[in-house]
Amino acid sequence: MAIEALKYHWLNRVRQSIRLMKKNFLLLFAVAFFSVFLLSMLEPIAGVIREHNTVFEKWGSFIFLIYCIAKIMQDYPTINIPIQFLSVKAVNLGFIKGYVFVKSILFSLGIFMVFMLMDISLSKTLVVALIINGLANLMCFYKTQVSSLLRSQTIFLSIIILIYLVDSVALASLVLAAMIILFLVRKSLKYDDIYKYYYAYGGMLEGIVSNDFARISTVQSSLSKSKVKSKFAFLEKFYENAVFFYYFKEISRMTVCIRSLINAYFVTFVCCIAPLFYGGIAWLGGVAILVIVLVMDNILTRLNKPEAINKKNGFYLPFTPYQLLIQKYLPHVTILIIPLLMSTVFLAGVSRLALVAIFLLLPVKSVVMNFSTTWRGKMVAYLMDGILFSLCFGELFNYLISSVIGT
Amino acid sequence: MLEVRDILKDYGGRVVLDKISFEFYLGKSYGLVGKNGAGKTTFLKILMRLIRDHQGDIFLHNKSLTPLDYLKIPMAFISDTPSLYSDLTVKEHLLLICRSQKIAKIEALQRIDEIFEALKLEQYRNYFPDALSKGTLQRLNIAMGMVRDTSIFIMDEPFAALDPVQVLAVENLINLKKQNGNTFIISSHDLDSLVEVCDECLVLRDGKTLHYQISELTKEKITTIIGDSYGD
Repeated sequence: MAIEALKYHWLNRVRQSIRLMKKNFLLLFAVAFFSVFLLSMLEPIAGVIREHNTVFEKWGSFIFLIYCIAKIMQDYPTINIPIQFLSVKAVNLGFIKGYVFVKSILFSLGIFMVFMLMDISLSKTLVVALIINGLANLMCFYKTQVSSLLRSQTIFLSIIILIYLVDSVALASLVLAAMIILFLVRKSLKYDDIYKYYYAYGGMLEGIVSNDFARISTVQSSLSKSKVKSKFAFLEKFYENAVFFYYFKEISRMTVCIRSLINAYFVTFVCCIAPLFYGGIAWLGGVAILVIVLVMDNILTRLNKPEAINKKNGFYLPFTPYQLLIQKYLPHVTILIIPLLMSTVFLAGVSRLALVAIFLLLPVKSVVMNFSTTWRGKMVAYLMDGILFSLCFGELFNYLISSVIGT
Repeated sequence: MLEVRDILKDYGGRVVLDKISFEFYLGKSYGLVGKNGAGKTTFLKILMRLIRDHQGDIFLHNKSLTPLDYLKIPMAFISDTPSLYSDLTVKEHLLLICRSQKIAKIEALQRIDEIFEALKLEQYRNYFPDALSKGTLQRLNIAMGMVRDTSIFIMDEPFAALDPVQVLAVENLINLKKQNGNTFIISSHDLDSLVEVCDECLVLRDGKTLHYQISELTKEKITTIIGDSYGD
């Protein structure tokens, strides 16, 4: 019965891919080009990894840890189950458990296989990080099955950080085995949250395939924790003063994604603290700042994108991108003050001037990227993206270039 | 007999179902009405075990359904928000359900033909969902539930988006299934259709249920009962 469900699921996926390729023929070439490029680069990349194995071991495991922490901090189960499996009851509980388990460890298993095929020895730290990744995926799903989200989140985060610090494959495997047993012995699953999530996620996937961005945005908004009531009356209070009115309009909207904002601050904190343990690697600060910028950019996009789509769909918002920038810049810079302070204090290897430039430029880029409708506006946004990533990646980029030239 | 005992459910302190107890007798059909937000969908999802975060128990043939997983519940749920594969045809959707229920091919094809005929879906059998109107999608949703091998059907707003001819087709199908001993619990705002297909009716008001024989109810009476809960 489960095989049939999988068969029809893959039939749907294949047809969907063909439809996507037919609709966007350039994508086909892009995928083909990228695949060939990646294959041709495999050996040089393997060479660099072999030569600098200890460095890759350190930053690879560090990135995995940050990634796993971010996964556990979010509200979503991470492992996606096609909603049709559940809605038409085409599968049984055992299949769902197996599906979640396999998907949880698939990525780590894939990395492991690639390393084996490329004849690169896997260090202990990296093996621990790969096990932690599978463990974090299972924990994310398990989190939706327990009643106290905050308690389970704290416990899971503590376990992951402890395993990372102890750096023991045996401990990591033991905890993973315990987690698998805990998951497999469950007689039933709690669908209260996951059914809604998978339904919305299915809609988003369809929106991506059909280039329906309004649908994607609606789903993204519905995926945030439900908003019941608001106690804020700032807009009424500051109606007469344009500056305060628009400032508090943005601040009120931030309350919608307050949880994501707190999570982003936490990730920022971890990114700032972690390089301190690897003082000898100067460019690690660049990786940390890159992660921070990506996370904060995501928060700003969540504030700008729905409004931009509303505007496109006819919501009355009679402002030019320049006027919007004036209204949004100050409140958006306000939320970036904490990451700016944290990174200035902790990330010793990164230029202070570059940090200030990054955090002052980021809100401008986000507004221009989301609200501009002309190709000139988009070009400016991409240019700013380029400047931002150059500032973040400067030291790491220099290192990679010199490594490649060296080999 | 399907029995609910002391079902209590709240959303952030707002009680939507306040210790509801009721016995649904098999072979009968029940309508569920109430104002928007009264808790009808929540009640149906609790029956299906899609919502577990509540108090109270559910029994089928005196056996508790509470510990059972949603995927093991022997009832069909026809949701008001169908989830379809965008790239499987109407017929393929039904084939998937029949196959997953281990129904033999000949019987499956026969069932599908019957349901296509009853819901006037024959001409759409090879269409993809994106090409269908809202009403046809709703009929496909109903067909996907009705083709299942079960005797209890839980339906959430099955008449929404249907034109009068399609409503009649759905009513006829429900009545036909009823004659074969199937049970229906139908949430709907379409009182005329409920009168056509239901034996009894539950009105959800302020978290409580009021039970009526369908013959006792008129549109005016239900409107008055529901209207009272608005405090007008």
